[in-house]
Amino acid sequence: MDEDFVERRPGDLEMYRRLDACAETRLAPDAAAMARIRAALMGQAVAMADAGAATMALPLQPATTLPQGPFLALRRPKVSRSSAAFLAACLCLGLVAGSVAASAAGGPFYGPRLWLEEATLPSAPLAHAHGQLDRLDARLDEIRVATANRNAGAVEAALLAYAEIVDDLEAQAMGNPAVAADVLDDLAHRQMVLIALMGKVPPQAQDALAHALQQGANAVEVIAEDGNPGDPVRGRGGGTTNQGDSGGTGNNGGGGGGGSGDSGSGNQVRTGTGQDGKDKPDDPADEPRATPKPKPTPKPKPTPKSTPVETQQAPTETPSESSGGSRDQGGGMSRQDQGGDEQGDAD
Amino acid sequence: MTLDEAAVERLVGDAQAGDPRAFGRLFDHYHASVYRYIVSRVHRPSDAEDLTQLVFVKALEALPRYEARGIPFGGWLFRLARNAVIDHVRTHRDHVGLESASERPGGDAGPDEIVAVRQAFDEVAAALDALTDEQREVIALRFFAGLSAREAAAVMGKQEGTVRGLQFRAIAAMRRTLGIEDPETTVVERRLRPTGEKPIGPSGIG
Repeated sequence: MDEDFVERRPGDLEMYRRLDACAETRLAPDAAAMARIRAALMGQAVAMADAGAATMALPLQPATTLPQGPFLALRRPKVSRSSAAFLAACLCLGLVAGSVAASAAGGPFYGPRLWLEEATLPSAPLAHAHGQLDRLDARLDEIRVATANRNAGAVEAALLAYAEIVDDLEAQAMGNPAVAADVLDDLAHRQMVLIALMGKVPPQAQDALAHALQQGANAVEVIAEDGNPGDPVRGRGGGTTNQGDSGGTGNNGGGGGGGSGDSGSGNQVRTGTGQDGKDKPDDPADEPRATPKPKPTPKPKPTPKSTPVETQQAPTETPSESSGGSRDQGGGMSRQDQGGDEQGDAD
Repeated sequence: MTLDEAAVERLVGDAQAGDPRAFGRLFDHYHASVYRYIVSRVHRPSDAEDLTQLVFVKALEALPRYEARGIPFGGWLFRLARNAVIDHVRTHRDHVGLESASERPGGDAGPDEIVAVRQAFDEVAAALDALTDEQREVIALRFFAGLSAREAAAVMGKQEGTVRGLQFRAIAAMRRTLGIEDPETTVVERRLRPTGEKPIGPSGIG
């Protein structure tokens, strides 16, 4: 920009002239001083150029000539990443190992583990019972391991868990004959295993073992009663005679007995036959014979306003009154079983 | 030494590429104007020489990062000088008048001439002292460093019109101080530097 057109007055020109004169004559630099400055600057410029050339040449050097320190420093992020991954893996492993150890018998997580086991059992009764049997096996294994390690706390915890599982199995089998029949033998077998452990478990766990054994024995007894009422051990053989009398109706008789256990009439009849103590007909004379047809019951006079109960009671009373022998008992039993069934249903 | 803008840019490129001689030529081109600007602001020749060297050292170190983004190399260099002056003034509170800058003998001039020049300079220095700081800055950049209004505006970080206004008011104030009257009140259009002497300013530094 050589020319600079500005609005000015003639007096300004004199001012410009004076300023220019000052700059040229009084503010001019000392030549010697500027020469020194220039020499210093040129030396620095040459040094910087040399340094720049050396810097440019640095990347061309092979990596093997680099000292160990900077090389490691360059790779530090990679090492850190792998170290972090290793640490994370160790942490996860430690957590898993700690959790497993803590969830062993007697550990702090043993209770939650048992709860989780029970919560994940199937809801179908039979499958649930099988799952509980598996859990009993697991408890027995824990008892064996803890006994071998002389870990009384773990043995005690496993025995208590065993007893609770047995309780649950008993409750499951009580109302379900199929489950009862399925688990009875298995439960008895595990009871034998538990008995075999007597004298081996640590003394501190003897009480828990006795409790588990008692719990198991009770459960076996109750399930056996529930699933097979004709068990002679209990002296209740009402259903046995029924089996002898009518074959296929034996179960019905048992069921009727079970259902009518609370009722007075059915129990009386079965008790009478059960007192004979005959599970099977020893005497050929006692073998069942074809039940003669009962005499036709005279039809009661039609009572227009009779209740259904009265209508049912009339025919059942008639054969009982006319029956006298064992064959009649059978017939009477079948009718009473019907009544028992009804009562059982009503129950 | 006169260089046009394109030649300056070529030298800058060579200096950035690591050519010390190119930087030497840039120093030769700019050192006088930089020194004049600095000495007009700090008033002490020894300090001005140190600051001049400091400015060129900073320029040498910062040259690889220099990019001409609308500001020519001259403007960038005088920004460095202005910052150096500001730092110096901030750390050196002792006030020295501009007349201290004329302690050096005036070459081969005769005693009468030296006295006359010195008297004229002292008057101008006194008039400059009466200006505001921004007005003094504009006078230093425009008349001592020889920058154009646009370059001075770029160095000061102001609009070109603002710089022109500051210059107008500074000249008017100095005229009043020095008692320079208008022979006539006409508006003329002529060159900024009417004297045919050694050119300084924008034409001088390209």
